[in-house]
Amino acid sequence: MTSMIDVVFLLLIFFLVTTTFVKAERQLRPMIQVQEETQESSQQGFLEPAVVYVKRRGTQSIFKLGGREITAYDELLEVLQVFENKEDGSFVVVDDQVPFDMTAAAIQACREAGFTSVSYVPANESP
Amino acid sequence: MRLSKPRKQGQLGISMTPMIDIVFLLIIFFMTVSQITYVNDEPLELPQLAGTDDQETSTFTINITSEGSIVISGRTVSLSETLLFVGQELSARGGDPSQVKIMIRCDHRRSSDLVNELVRKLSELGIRQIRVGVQVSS
Repeated sequence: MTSMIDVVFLLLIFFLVTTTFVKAERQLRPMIQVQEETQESSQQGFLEPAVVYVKRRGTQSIFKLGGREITAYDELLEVLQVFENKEDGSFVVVDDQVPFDMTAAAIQACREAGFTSVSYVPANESP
Repeated sequence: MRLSKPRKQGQLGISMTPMIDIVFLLIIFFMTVSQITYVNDEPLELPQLAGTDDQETSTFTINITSEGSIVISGRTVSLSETLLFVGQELSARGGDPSQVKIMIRCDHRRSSDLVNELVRKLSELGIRQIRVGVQVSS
């Protein structure tokens, strides 16, 4: 009996130490486009589509929507909700230097604001 | 046949049976739980967001670590190798880009440069949609 309990305890300790719990994950589903196509499609619509630029300003990253510079997610969401042409979709133009956190947040905000489609557009590389 | 020694009267013994039951239950629990890990998913710190849908089964998962390494099925690969694998996946599905469901799991601390580069290349391959993995905050 004693040796069996020893083995059982060793097994228990092994599983206790090695177990890592999987964190719950979900997904975002942006369309992908390259810069040239975005410029073409933006000229076709009657209203200007929502284009969120995710940029680097000095040490911090910002969202730029029209002439407005936004730092907080909630503020971005508020501004995006005002747009009327939700069916035209929105575009998230992403600079290389911004953390991926900000990029994902911009896509999330567009979907949460009610845009039917969100396109991920990598910003043109600076010369 | 007597398996246990006769206990002297007045001496208190520890009953082992319930303890072994509990220990076995714990072992079964941990054995089961430790199996629920996905081989394709690297342990990464994804952006903490609500997401829009539950994760579907993707045909191809690309993991990007905070150091900027691309990991596919537990193997660190280069960007060109990644595109080669995507191309193989594409031809295995009859060359139809809509059949290839690509999941990008990028660490939230990583800059977007690698994802941008991937998106440019995937766009050249005719892929029009990607999936971005996010982590539901606890």
